[in-house]
Amino acid sequence: MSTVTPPLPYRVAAARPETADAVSLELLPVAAALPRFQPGQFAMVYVFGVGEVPISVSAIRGSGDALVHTVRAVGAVSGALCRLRPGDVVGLRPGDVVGLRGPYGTGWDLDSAAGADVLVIAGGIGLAPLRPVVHHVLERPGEHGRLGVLVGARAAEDLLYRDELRRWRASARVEVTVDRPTPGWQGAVGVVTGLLDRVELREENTCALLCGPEVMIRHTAQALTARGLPAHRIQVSLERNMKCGTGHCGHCQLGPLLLCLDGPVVDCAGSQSLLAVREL
Amino acid sequence: MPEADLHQLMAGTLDAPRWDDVASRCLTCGNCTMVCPTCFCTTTEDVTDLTGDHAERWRLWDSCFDLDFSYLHAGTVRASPRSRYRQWLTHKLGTWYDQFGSSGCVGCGRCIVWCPVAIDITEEAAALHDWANRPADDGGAPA
Amino acid sequence: MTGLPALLGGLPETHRDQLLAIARDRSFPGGERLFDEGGAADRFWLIRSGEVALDLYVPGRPPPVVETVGPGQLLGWSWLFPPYRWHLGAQALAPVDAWEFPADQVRAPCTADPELGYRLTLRCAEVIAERLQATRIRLLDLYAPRTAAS
Ligand SMILES: Cc1cc2nc3c(=O)[nH]c(=O)nc-3n(C[C@H](O)[C@H](O)[C@H](O)COP(=O)(O)OP(=O)(O)OC[C@H]3O[C@@H](n4cnc5c(N)ncnc54)[C@H](O)[C@@H]3O)c2cc1C
Repeated sequence: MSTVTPPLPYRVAAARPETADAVSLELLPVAAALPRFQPGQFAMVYVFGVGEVPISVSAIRGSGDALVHTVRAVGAVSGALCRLRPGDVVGLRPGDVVGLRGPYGTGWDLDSAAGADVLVIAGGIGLAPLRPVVHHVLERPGEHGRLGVLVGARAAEDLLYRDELRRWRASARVEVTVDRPTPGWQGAVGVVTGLLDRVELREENTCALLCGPEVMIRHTAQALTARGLPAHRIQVSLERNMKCGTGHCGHCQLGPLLLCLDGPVVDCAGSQSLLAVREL
Repeated sequence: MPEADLHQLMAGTLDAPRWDDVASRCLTCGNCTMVCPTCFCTTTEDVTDLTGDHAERWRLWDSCFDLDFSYLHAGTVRASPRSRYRQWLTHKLGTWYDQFGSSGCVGCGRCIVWCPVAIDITEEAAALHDWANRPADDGGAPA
Repeated sequence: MTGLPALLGGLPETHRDQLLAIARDRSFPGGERLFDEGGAADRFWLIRSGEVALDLYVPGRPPPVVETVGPGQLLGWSWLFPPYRWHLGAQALAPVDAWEFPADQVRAPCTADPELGYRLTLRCAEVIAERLQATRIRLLDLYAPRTAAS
């Protein structure tokens, strides 16, 4: 078990609003940098005087020192991280400093995906921890089979990384669906599981990676299992309250798992039965 | 304690009706977690002075019986007393093995002494054991 | 990229071939309406490419889209049950390629061969159940900004 290390100062190099309630922060170390993050891992992000929350890395840039976190404003700390509009009083702006600890948690198991089709399925802000997977696969042509990216969002304006989604289409099968079509939306309408019929699933050689609201994760995992994908080939990223990130505070337990150490990425073989227990 | 593999017993009885029974007595006061010598959970509190230039982070004792313990923005995962008592007992006697390779109970009996409604973890474990080993035709009707 | 549409994938080969023999190739340009609410549901489609929006008629505004059906999916099941009338309207969002099945030509062999009829009805029921589940999940508005409540 690792010990708690003090946060390292990171400067906000850029703050890019993604949607009405989410911002991507590009962070650079002020002095020393944290060890390299792997896709799927998270950092404990500290806002001075406000608090510290777990946020996944949504891109790993340059030599690995530059980290991007995409944060959705849902409460005290996440709200303090997001300056959504230029005039906002709360929220970080370029030049501000945050504290970072990490990298924490299990990343996506991409070794097991070598040679296999990679199917990324994301709902809402769940695309953030999966974006580094897409980058990873696209940067290594030939190492994997086909890449599929299925994305569900509330509405078109809630889609993260719209420019990138467009670019990914050159080398990946990208399908986007929304719950609520707004005028002008020409794409799919429905839940993300509805997109599964549109991709050919080679169940003997596909690795599926899921992140989103827990209900979406459960149903998508079920739909994949029903289509013949073995549970150990379905990885999911889960969320529980976290205070320390290092297995010491006890908050993130899901049955036997301490999600900050044993997760957040777990495979369905080990977690499907746990997710089925209410209030575990 | 029942003569049983408690680790297995706890993992296999998460749906036992006994949890409803104990939850009907448990006040979720957290006394057991306060006196338990192995309870280790903590939370963190951030404080600032009025100028906002000086901030402190304090690590504080915390209890899994607290509603905020499992809070995820706008909702508590373990909202029912049943689930919070179950978390405490299954962690102490069961999932502790997964996490630390041993039982989390040292047998000191303090949680029994300090429980205002006289819940006895050995009785609860025995009742779970009985339920797990009930005759097959019982059908799991509430005890 | 898709293989056989899910509806046919679950059928034994003989039944599959029997149905595919009835199918004819159809294409619709983007924007074309395939059917309207209340119209005679005398056919269904298995979509090979393109996207079809299912909508409802609401006076005074453009028809709201409730769901879309895309590659690999079944479009239309009102032909299964009397009174064989469409519950929704359908419009191609993008050019559509599909197999079109005339309903009477499918219902007749289904009546003659109850095994075929049973299997096909079961597959359709599965699709309908999946869509019902999907709709229920969508009712939860999972991605909505959460407010402190509950
Ligand atoms: C491994 C992991 C990765 C995550 N990655 C992202 C990400 O990339 N982008 C993103 O926007 N969000 C992410 N989250 C969720 C994010 O941590 C919460 O939205 C955030 O903790 C809410 O804190 P708050 O202070 O703004 O909200 P409040 O509602 O004020 O929460 C109070 C406190 O409760 C705890 N808490 C509340 N909600 C959560 C939660 N969902 N998860 C863990 N602790 C919580 C925190 O300690 C928080 O400080 C992730 C969570 C986990 C566990």
